[in-house]
Amino acid sequence: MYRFGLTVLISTLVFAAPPASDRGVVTGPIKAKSYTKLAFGPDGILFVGDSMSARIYALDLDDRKPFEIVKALEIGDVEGKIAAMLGADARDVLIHDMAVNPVSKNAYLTVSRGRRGFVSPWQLPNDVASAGVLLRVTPAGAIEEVRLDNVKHSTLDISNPVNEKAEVDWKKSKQRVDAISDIVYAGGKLYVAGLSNEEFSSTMRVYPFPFQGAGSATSLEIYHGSHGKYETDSPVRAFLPFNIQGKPYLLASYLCTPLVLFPMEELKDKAHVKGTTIAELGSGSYPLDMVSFRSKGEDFVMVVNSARGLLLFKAQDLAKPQTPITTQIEGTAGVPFTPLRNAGVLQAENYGDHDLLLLARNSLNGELVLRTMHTERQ
Amino acid sequence: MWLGTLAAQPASRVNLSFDAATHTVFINGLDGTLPGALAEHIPEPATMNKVFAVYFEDSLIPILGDYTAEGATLRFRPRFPFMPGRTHRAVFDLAALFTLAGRNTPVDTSPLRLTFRIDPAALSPRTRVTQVFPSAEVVPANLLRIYVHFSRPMTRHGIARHVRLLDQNGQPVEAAFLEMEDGLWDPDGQRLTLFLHPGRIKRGLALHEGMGSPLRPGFRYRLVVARETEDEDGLPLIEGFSKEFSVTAEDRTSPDVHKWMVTEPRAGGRQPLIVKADKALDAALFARLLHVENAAGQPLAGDTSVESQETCWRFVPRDIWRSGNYVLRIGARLEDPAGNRPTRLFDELAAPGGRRAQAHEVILRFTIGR
Repeated sequence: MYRFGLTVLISTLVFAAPPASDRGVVTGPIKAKSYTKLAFGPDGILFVGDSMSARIYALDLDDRKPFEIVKALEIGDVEGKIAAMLGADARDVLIHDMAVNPVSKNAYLTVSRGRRGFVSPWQLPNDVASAGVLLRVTPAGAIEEVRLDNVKHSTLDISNPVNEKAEVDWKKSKQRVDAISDIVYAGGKLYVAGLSNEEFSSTMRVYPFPFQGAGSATSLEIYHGSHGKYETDSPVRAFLPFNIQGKPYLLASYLCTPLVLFPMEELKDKAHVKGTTIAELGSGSYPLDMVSFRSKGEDFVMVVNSARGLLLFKAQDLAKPQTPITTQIEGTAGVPFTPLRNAGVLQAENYGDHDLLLLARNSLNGELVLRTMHTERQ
Repeated sequence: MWLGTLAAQPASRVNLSFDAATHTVFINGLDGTLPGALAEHIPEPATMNKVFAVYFEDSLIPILGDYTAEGATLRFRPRFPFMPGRTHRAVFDLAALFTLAGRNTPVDTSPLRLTFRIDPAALSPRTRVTQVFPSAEVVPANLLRIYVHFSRPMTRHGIARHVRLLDQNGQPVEAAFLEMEDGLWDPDGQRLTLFLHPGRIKRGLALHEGMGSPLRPGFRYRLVVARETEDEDGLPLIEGFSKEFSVTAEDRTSPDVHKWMVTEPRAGGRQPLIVKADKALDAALFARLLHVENAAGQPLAGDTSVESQETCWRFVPRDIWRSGNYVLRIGARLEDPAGNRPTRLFDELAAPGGRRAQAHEVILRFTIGR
């Protein structure tokens, strides 16, 4: 997912085009085992994280024709339309991730035929199937396949990913699917959250882009208020770059559901960093996505929560000095937030400067809808 | 331009067909020069769809797939296999092909249509039950879990209909397993875990006192997996499976790791480390919860296997053994087939006078000499 930096708060991060270096760029087929996570980088580059192969592809899909949004987008029964393309029923269709090209406003979806594989309410899409199809949704509403049999790309192998056999006992899934649990491009670097094979497995990896050199890997530790303990094995589920008084941080959210700040300057290779838990959003839920935006002159961060809908934070509240959460709590705690009335949202992405693109299940008819939400009006 | 070679194609010779074995839709009888030219540069699917497309049931959006051309034949293969038992429609429009080629449309060429369906009954099953744990033919009356391994991933839903525990008269044992409409599967969908109803096994619970354990000592039982059990493609098994076993008295003893025998390999090779337990253990937990660490506390990579009716654990290290002290770490959750742990019985909390509520990790030390 591409996340725009908060234009006011992020002053030290520069979202610039990469140097005109074609090093490592080849044209040919992509043979990924799983399209695990998506993020947009500079100049229309689409990053595809492949947890099963422990590899990241930077795809140049030649998708850089600027498009200015003139009308709202709404596509009903997205799963029904994709089902026809996959030769399956709508209830087979599983959308794993979404990213929007900030230049062309094309939305990209990773898809599998695996939705009937869910056997536990705790499983996420990547736990039950590997996505093997990449689709593009144009601002005109067309859905088309993006074939990767001959594409300009560069690749990056992730060292020491979590073992392929390791299981997550309580939800019957493979830890390997979270070798890459989220990716974000910011300021010339690709930030890759996931699990390593180290004892403290939750890891943030940082790579320069265009890819060169090994990058860094830092193990992460958090205090988990609703569990009442320190944790090092739960991967970051969604994160954003976030600046506080000129100092860059990563704002990360976890299962069940702490919100944690990590200073970027501490993300050194082989270091172990303890984050500051600044909010607990209530247990029994996943943070599915995070997005930041500006509305009526004010900056916001929104967490898409699997149980509680859209949780809206004012950036200025997140930036205030916090008393870290270091003891067990019940319910919610820390930085205040406003729940918005949007049940069933699964993915949220910036869609131009004044809209978000939401992938949401209609709670009354069960239909999956892709639609824009105007941020000046929430 | 590849289409430039299209001559006046007689529509009558063109034939649209489907081959279930290869999941391929064919157009035969085209002018031989056409597929040859196509082979070099097949147009994008979005373009080809207007000429030749396959649809799922009554959908109007074409199925994703690959087009290839060879000889006098054009082929379409879907990205995912066609779903057995479901209707698919193929449409080939020769006129559209001519239009695409910028040629005058020949008269009398309405699109060719074909409706096809793969008959699930006609498909050859590919999947079988490969193993059941416990592998012994005698089990304790308080057996907690049975694992059924399949050779390929299974449809997880509705498994309860296809798995039965029969008594020696061939009658199903009622409420034998914990409610399991969709079953408890490993991430690959190849291992099904059946829990014999824990409420009926735990002493002190109403279900145990009222119904007793599902398995009674001195009797014989049969676990049956029906042939109709579906694999992930919706196909039945190659054959049904059954395993007969007899039942002995309840086992209310903990595995005693201090009675375990560790065969220590020598330094400099990759001989297996063999751990012989004092009793049979739960196959999945035995395989997963034992780890070898070196003196620095680093886990050793290698392959593990469980053998000899789950009484023996084998570890072949990835790298050669170096002389020194090692630790075999035995996870707190290791259990025997009746759920008894090394430091706690399965129902110890409920048992009268139960003391050891917490299970703990156990460590065995060994040394590799030169």
